[in-house]
Amino acid sequence: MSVSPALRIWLLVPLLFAAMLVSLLLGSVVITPAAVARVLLPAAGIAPEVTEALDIARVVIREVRLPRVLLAVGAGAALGLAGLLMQTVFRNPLAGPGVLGVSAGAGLGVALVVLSGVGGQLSSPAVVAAMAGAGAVVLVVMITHRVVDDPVILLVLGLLFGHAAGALTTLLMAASPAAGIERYVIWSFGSFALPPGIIQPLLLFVVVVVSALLAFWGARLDALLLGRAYAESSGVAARALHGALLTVAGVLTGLVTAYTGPIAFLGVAVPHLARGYLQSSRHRLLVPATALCGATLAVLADLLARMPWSARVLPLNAVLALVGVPVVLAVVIAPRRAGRGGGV
Amino acid sequence: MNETVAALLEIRNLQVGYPRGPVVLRVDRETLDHGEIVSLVGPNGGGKTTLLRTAAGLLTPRAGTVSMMGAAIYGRGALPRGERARRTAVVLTDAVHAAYLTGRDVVELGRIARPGPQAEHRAAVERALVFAGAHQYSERRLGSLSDGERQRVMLARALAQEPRMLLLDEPAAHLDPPHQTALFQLLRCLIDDGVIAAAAVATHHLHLALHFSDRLFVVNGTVLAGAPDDLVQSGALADAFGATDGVRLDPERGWFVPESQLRP
Repeated sequence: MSVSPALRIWLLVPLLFAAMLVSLLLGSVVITPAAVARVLLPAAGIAPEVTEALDIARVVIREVRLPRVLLAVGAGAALGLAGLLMQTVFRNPLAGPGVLGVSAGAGLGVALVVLSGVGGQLSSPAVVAAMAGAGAVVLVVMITHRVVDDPVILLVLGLLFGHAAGALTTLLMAASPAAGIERYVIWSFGSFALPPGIIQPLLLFVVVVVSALLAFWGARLDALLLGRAYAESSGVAARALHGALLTVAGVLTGLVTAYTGPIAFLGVAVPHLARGYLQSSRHRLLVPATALCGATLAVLADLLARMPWSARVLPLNAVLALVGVPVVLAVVIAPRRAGRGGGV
Repeated sequence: MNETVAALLEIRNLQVGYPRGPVVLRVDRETLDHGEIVSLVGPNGGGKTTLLRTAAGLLTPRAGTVSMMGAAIYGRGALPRGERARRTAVVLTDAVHAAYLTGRDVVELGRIARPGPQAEHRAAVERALVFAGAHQYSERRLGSLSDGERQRVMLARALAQEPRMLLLDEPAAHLDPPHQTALFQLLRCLIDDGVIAAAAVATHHLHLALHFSDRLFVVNGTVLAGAPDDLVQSGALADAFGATDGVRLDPERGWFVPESQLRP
C-alpha cells in the first residue's frame, strides 16, 4: 500500500519490457530468448554461430516482430497521452483521442485514396491521405478554439466532424467496387504490422519528448483540472494551454491513426488505468504512467490479436475495444460505489 | 511603497455584458481599500458574481478599467497573469471534479505563480491548510470530500497564493453555520494580522455581511456602496431585493422575516 508513486512508475518499465520480449518470442515461429539476444545484441560476446535457424530468427525479428512491437509501443503511448490530454482539457472521463473527429478525418482521407483505387492499404498515398485528413480536422479544431471560447461547443463540433467524415466515407464506400471496400475495411481493423521504417523511431522520439514536456508542465496541467477560471486566477494561461494541448493530442492521434488505422479507443481506457494504479491525477506522475501503460497494453493487445497459437489474426481494433470496454466501465462505476467519486 | 497610495482594486466606468447582449452591470467608480472587508450583496441575477469575476481578471468588460494596486488588468499593457495571481486570489462557485487530487495537491496548485525553494512552498501550503481549517483533508482525495469540506480546501488554495486580496464568491454557501461565521472571522483576522490586505465577498448571508463588513456593495445592475448600518436604515438594502409580499428585512437580525413577526 505504501509503495511510493515514483516506484510504482518504475515498476511499469520491467512490465513493458517483459511484454515486448514475450511478443518477440511468440508467433507463427517460436523464437528462443537466446536467439533474440543473439539477434538484438550481436556484441554481447556470444559466439556468432551461423546457423539456418538463427538466420530465420534474424529475419523474423528484425523485419517483422521488432518493427511491429516498437510501433505498438509508440502508438500505445501516443494514444494514451492523447487520451489523457483530452480528458484533462475537457475535464471529462469519457473524452479520448477520437472526440474531436481526428480519427474520422484520417479514415476519410484513407477512404478517398483507397476507394479511388490509387493505392492499397498502408501504401504511402494512403498514409499521406490519412495524415491530410487528420491534419485538416486538427486545423479546423484549432481555428474553432480561437473563435469560440467554449469547450462544450468544441466537443459538439468534434462529434459533428466525426459524423460528417463517417457519412462521407460511407458514401464513398457505396460508390466503390468491392475490392476497394475490402481494402478500406482491412485498414479500419487496425494493425501494427508495418515494415521497418521511419515511423517507429519517429513515434518513439515524439512520445519521449512530449512526455517530458508534459511532465515538466505538470502543475499547470493539474491546475486545468480545477477549471479554467481557477487555472487563470492562479497564473496559468489556460486558454492558450488548452489550444496547445488539443493540438498535441490531435497530432499524436493523427500520426498514429495514419499508420495503424483507427485504434483510438485505447486512448480512452489507458489514462483511467494509470490513474487507478497511481491513485493520483497529478500529471507529473500520470504522464509517464500513462505512456508506459499505453505501450504495454498495446503490445499485449497486439500479441492477443495475432493469436500465436493459431494461424488466424483478429482485428486489433476489436481486441482493443473488447479489452478497453470493461476497463472503462469498471473505472467509471467502481469509485462511485466506493463513495470516492469518479472522474479525472 | 506605491502599494499604499493606489487602492488595492479600483473599478472605473465599468460596463459588463455579453458582446451582443445587454449590459448587465454598470459601475462608475468603486474601490477596495486597505484593511477592509467589503460584502457584495443583492438579489439573484443582480451581478455579484459578474462584478467579482470582472474584478478578478476572469471576465473582460465591455468598457471601463479595472486596476489592481494601480496596474490595469485588462487591455494593452495589462498586468501579466502571474503578477495578478500574486496580488489576488479567488474562491469561486465553480464545481471542481478533480476526484484523484488530494487536498494538499490542490492547495499546492496555489503556488504556481510563486517561484521559490521547496521549503518555502511547503511552509506556505501548511499555513494555508491550517488557516482554512482544511488540514484534516490534506491527504484525502477531493472526490471523497463533501461540498463544504471541498470549499475549505479551495479557500486554502487561495491563501497558498499569498495574495494581497481575496475575492470570494459565496464562500459560505456549503459551510455549516459555525463555519460560515468562522470564515468571516478568519477574513477579519487575516486582515488584522496583515496576512492579506483586504477581502471582497459576494454572499447571501446578510447577517454575516452586516456584522463583519466594513462596507457593503449593494449590487443590482449597478453598485450602491455604503456602511452596512446606513444602507439598512435608509432602506436601500431591502429595496435592492425588490418587493416580496409579506416579507421584510429585520435590521437587527439581518434576515428577511414575515411582516407579522417584524418588531415595531
